[in-house]
Amino acid sequence: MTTTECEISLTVNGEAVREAVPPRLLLGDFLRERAGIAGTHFGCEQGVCGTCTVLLDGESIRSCLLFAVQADGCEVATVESLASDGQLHRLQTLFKKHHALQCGYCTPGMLMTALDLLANRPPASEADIRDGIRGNLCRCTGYQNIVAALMEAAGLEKADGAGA
Amino acid sequence: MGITQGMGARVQRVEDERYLTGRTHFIDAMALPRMLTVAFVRGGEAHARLLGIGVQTAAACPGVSHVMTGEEANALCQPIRADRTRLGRTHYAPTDYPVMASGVIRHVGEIVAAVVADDRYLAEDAAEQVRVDVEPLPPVLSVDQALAPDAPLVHGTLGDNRHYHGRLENGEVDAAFESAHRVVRTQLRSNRHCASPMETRAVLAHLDADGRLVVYTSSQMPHMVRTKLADLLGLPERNIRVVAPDVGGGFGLKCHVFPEELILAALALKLERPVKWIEDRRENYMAGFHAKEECIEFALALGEDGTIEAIDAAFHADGGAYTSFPFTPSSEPSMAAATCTGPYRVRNLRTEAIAAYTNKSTLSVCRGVGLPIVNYALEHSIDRAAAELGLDPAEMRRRNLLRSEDFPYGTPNFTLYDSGSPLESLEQALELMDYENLRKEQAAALAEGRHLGIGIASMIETTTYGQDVLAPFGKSDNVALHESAALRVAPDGGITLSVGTHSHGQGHATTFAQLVAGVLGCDVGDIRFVQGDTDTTPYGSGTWGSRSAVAGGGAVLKAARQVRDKAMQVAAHLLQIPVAEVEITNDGRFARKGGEGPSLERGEVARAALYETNLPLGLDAGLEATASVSPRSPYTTATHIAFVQVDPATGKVDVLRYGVSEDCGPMINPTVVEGQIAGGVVQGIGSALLEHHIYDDQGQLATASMMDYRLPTAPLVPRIEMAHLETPSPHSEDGLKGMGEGGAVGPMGAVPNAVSDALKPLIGWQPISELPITPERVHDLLRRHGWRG
Amino acid sequence: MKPPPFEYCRPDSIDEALEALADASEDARVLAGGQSLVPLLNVRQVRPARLVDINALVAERYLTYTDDALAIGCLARHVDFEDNPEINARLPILGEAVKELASPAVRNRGTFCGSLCHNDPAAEWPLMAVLLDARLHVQSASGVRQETAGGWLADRHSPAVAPRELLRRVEIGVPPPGAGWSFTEFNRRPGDVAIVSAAALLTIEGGRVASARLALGGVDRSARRLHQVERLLEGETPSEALWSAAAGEVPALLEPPTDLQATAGFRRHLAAQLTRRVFAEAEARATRKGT
Repeated sequence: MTTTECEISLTVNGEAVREAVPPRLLLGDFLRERAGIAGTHFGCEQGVCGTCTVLLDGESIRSCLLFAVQADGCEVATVESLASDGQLHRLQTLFKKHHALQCGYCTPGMLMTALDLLANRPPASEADIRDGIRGNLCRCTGYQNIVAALMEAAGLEKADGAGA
Repeated sequence: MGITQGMGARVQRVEDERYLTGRTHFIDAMALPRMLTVAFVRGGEAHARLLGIGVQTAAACPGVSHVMTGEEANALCQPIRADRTRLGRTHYAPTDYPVMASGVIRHVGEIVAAVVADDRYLAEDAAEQVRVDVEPLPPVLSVDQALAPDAPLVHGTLGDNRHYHGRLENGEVDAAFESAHRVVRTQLRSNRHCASPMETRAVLAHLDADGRLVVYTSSQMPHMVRTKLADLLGLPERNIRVVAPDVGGGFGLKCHVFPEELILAALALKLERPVKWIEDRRENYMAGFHAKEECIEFALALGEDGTIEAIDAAFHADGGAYTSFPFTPSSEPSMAAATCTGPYRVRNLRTEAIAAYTNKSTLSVCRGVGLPIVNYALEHSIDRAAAELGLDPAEMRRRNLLRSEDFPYGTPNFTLYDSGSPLESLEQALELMDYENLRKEQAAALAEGRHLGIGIASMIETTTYGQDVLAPFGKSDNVALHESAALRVAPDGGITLSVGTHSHGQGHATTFAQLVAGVLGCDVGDIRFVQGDTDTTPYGSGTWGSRSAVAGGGAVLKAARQVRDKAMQVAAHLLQIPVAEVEITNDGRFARKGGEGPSLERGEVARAALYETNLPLGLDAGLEATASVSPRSPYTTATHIAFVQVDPATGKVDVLRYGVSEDCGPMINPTVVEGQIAGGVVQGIGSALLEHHIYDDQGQLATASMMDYRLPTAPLVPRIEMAHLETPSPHSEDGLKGMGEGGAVGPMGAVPNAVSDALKPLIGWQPISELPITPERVHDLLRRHGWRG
Repeated sequence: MKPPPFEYCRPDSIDEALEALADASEDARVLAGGQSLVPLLNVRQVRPARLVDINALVAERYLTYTDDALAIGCLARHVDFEDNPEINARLPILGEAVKELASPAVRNRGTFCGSLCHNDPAAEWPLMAVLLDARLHVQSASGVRQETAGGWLADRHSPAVAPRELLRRVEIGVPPPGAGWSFTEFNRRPGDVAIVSAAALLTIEGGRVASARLALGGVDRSARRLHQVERLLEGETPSEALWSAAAGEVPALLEPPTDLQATAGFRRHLAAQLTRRVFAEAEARATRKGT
C-alpha cells in the first residue's frame, strides 16, 4: 500500500518492461515517457475521444483511464506493434489506400479500436462499423475514408480505390 | 511515372507511413535531457481585479524549479499586439494582449502563473498551491450587453467595448427596400464554436549548443511565430529557430501567435533548460480561441420574380477578451460582411460588422471565417424567400445565381470574383442527389407520417486571401501574404523541396510533390519534402485561409519550372542540340523531341550542373531555384444538399444523405480534395447540430470537456456524396484554387434549410433562428407555432 | 489533467479488500473498471486518499443464474453482457441496454456494479436495476447488507456507495416467461449519457395488463420507477390509447433537472414520449396468455 513507487513488469509489444512507477501514473504517460513508446497520444484524458486506445490483453482500452500499475503482469499492444519486418499490417495498408488519415493524430487509437472491432465484434454492415468506432473522434476525415478502409478490411465491400 | 503522378492523379499519400506506424514527431513524443514540464495556473473568474499572487507554497513543492508570475513574464515579454493601418474610417481598437494577466483577469482560463516542475503531475500538484487573490468585477457576457450604453468596460482604457466597427453601403439600398415586392428580414444567432483539433496546442522550448532559442510549437505558421518571438522578446530573429513538427490538426486555431509560446520561450531563456507544455483539453476549450458566435440581422429586398434587389446585413460578433494576432476578433464579422452577397447577382448592399470585447475566450478565425455565418444567414433567407414567394428553392437560386459566363464579376463589396460556376454547380448537385426523386421520396414519407427535408445551400468561397482581399482590412500589416518554395536537385537527381506553408493533414508532401512531378517528370518518391523549420524553409506565413495550393503550390510550380528551364539548357548543351529541341520524356529523361538519339537522366544533368563538368558558357553552376508567389484570391464555388429526417415528437434531426458539387479549379489530387470536403462537411454538420460552447451567467465555461462540447461521431453522419467541376482561375499558377475550408461552410445553410423544409407541412416554413439545432429547439419551434403532435 | 496522488493497493481476496477499505485513515474508494472514477480523478474532482483496486479478484467476474435470478459479480464488465446468448435468452433487455453504453473500449473495462455505485441518473445499469428490482449485496468489514435498487439508488447522490463499502454482488430477477420488455434512450450521439431513458416490462393475461413496470432515467437525481403509472395500467386493456394515457400521467410525476442538455420541461416531454414508445414496444413483445 503506497503512494510511492510500485515495481511493475509487463509486456509491451512483445518486449518485457520492468519499471518503478508512482501509482497515479496513467498507462498512456507510462508508455510515452517511461517505456519510450510514443505513438499513443492523449486527446482528452476523459475517456471520450479514443485517441489513447491501446490493447490490454487483446482488448481495446483507454490508456488515459488505466493506471500503469494496473497493467502489471499484462500484455499491452500499441500501434507500434502492427507492422512487422518492415511490412505494414493489412489495416495500415488499407488506411493508406483509402486516405483514411489526414493529420494522423487519431490514427493510432483508431487502428487499435479497429483491431478490436474486427476481432471481437465483427461488423456486418457499414452501420456496425460506424457504431464500432463511435468512441473515437476524428476531426479531419469526417470518418468517410476510415469507414471505407474498414469496410474493405471486414470484407463488406470491395471499394474501387480511394476517395468517395 | 512522372506524368501519371502529376496534376490530377489519385496518388496515395507519401507521408502516411509514419503516422500509421506511430513513428511521428508530435511534440508530446519529444524529450530532451534535463527537460522540465510546465503547468499553467489559469484565472477562475470571467472578470476580476488581480490583487496578488502567492507562490511560496507552490515553489516549495516537490520537483518544482520555478514559478513565474505575470510580473516576471510581462517584464520579459512585450504584450502581443495587432495594429493596423489603411483602415480609413473603420473603427479599430486593438488591445495589448499580455502573455499573463496584468492587473485584470478578463476571461476564465487566462494565464496567471506558470509552474515549472520535473513532470506534469508534480507541476499540477504545485499549481494547485498557487494562491490567487482577486476582486470580482462585473462580467460582460454577450455582444448585446457589450454594446449597451451602460455596459461595464472589458478594457478600461478604451472608450467603449467595440473592437471593430465597419460599415459599407453601395448602390440604392433604401430605394430598393422601399420599392421591393417583398422584404424578408431575419434575425439569427450562431453558436460559439471552437476548432478542437485532436492534438491540442503544445510547445517545447530550449537553447541549442550555440545558445540560440529553439521553439517547437504545434503551429500552422512557424515563420510568423519566429518573427513575433523576436519582436516581443527583443531577440535578433536569426537567433531563433521555430519548428512546427507533426501537427495534429489546426483548423484556424493554430494560425495565431499564443502567449504560451512566448512564455515557454521566456522560461527556456531564463532557466537555460528545455521546457515543455502539452495543453490539456480543458485548457484548450477555456483558453484556445473560439469562433463564430454572432448575432445577425439579414434582410433581402425581393422583386416579384424572386430577384434579389438588395441586401442589408449586420453581423455583431461576441469577440471575447483580447485582440489576437495576426487574426483578430474582427475577422469573423468583417469577412461575413465582405462576402455576404455569396454567389448571387446583387447590386445594392449595406453591411455593418461589429466585434465587441466580452469576458470570454477570444473569438478569432476557424475553418471558413465568416463564410459559414454568411451561408447560414444568406441561404436560410433565400429559402425563406422562396417559401414566401411559392418558389421551389432550386428555382429561387436559378433566378439569382451567377453563371460561369458572368465571371469575372465585381460585387458591391468591391470584391472581384475571378471565375466559377455557381449555377452549374447547383445543377450538378441536384443531379447528384436526384432532386426530383428526392422530392417524391419526401412526399411518400410524409404520407406515412415521416418528416423528411431537403436543404440546398450554394456558396462561393474566398480562397488564398491575397492583397486584393486582405489589404482593405489592413490585415496585411500583420501577416505575409506571399509564399515561397525552394527546390534543389542533388547530384543523383533526387530533389529536395522546402516550403513555408505547413501541412497538418492536408497532404502537401504528396500534392506539392505531384506538382513537381508534373514539371520534371519524376516520381513523387524522388522528392524529399521539407516544411515547418524556419532554419531550412523559405519565409512564408504558413497554412491558413485555403491558401497553400495557390500560394505555396504556385511557388512550387514556379521553382520547378525555373529548375526545369535551367536543366533543359544544360541538357541541350550535353546533347549538343538547341534548347528548343529538348523535352522531358514520360519517364523523366532529357531527350530530343521525338525521342530519337541519346537521352540523359536527371542525375546526369544535375551532376553536370553541380560539378561544372560541361556547362554552357555563361550559365552559373548549380541546379536549384527559390521562387515566390504573391497571390490574388481565386474563388471556389459549390452547392451542398442535405437530406434529413426530423422526428417532431422528440425534435431529433438525422442527416440521411449529404451531397456536394464543388468547383475548386483543377484538382492536384482528387482523393485529397475529397478528403478535405468530407472532413469539412462533417465539421459543418457538427456546427449546425451539435457544437456549442456555453458560458453560464457568471462567465464560467460550462462546456470545458469533450463530454459537453460534442463533436460529430461516425454514426451521426452519412457518407458524403461528391461531384466536381474544374474551372481554372485566371489569377493563379496553372489555374489552381483553394478549397480547404469550403466543406465546413455549406452545412451551415443546408442543414437548417433541410430542417425548416421538413417541418413545413406541420407549421409552414419557419426559420431556424439559433444554432445548433438541438432537439429541444426543434420542439420549442413546433410548440411556438401551435403544433402539439 | 493528471490525477492527484493516492495510496494504492491491489488485494488478492475480498477480505483483504474490505480490510483495506476499513483501515483507510481517510476516504477510500474501490477501483473496479475506473471508467467513471478515473475521469473524475484526472480533473481532481475527487481526491480519495486510497484506491483499493479489486481487479485481481477474478473470481468476482461472473454472471450466474439461479432459477429466477441473475447474479452479477462486482467485477463483471459491460462487455460480458454483449452478444451473450444466455443474456439474450433470459434477460434480452440487458443485451439491448449494453449496446447504448458508451463505447467498446469503455465496455471492455467498466463494470456493472461500478456503474451502480457511480449512480449517474441517466446511465443504463441503474435504470435496469430499478426496473428489474435488483437486490444489492453491500459488504464492508462489519458485514453484509441487502438493499433494493430503488431505495438504495434513490437515497444517494452519486456516488451511491459509502467510502468503506463494496457493492459485492447484484441479483436481478428474471421476468416471467412471456413478459414483454422495451428499453430506449434519447441522446444527442450514440453512446452519450442519455437525456432521458425509459424501460418497461409488461405481462398480459386474459387480454388485460397483468403487471406493468416503468422505469425512467435522466428525470430525477437517480433512475426511478413510476409506480403510480404502473398501478393505473394493471387490469386495463392494452391499446395505443392506454399507453398515451399512461404517458400523459408521467410529466406531473417528475422533478427533472435543467442542465446543458435539456430543460426540465423538455425532459418531461421526452419522458412522456418515451413512455408511450416503451409500452407500445413491450406490448408487441409480450406473449398474450389466456386469450
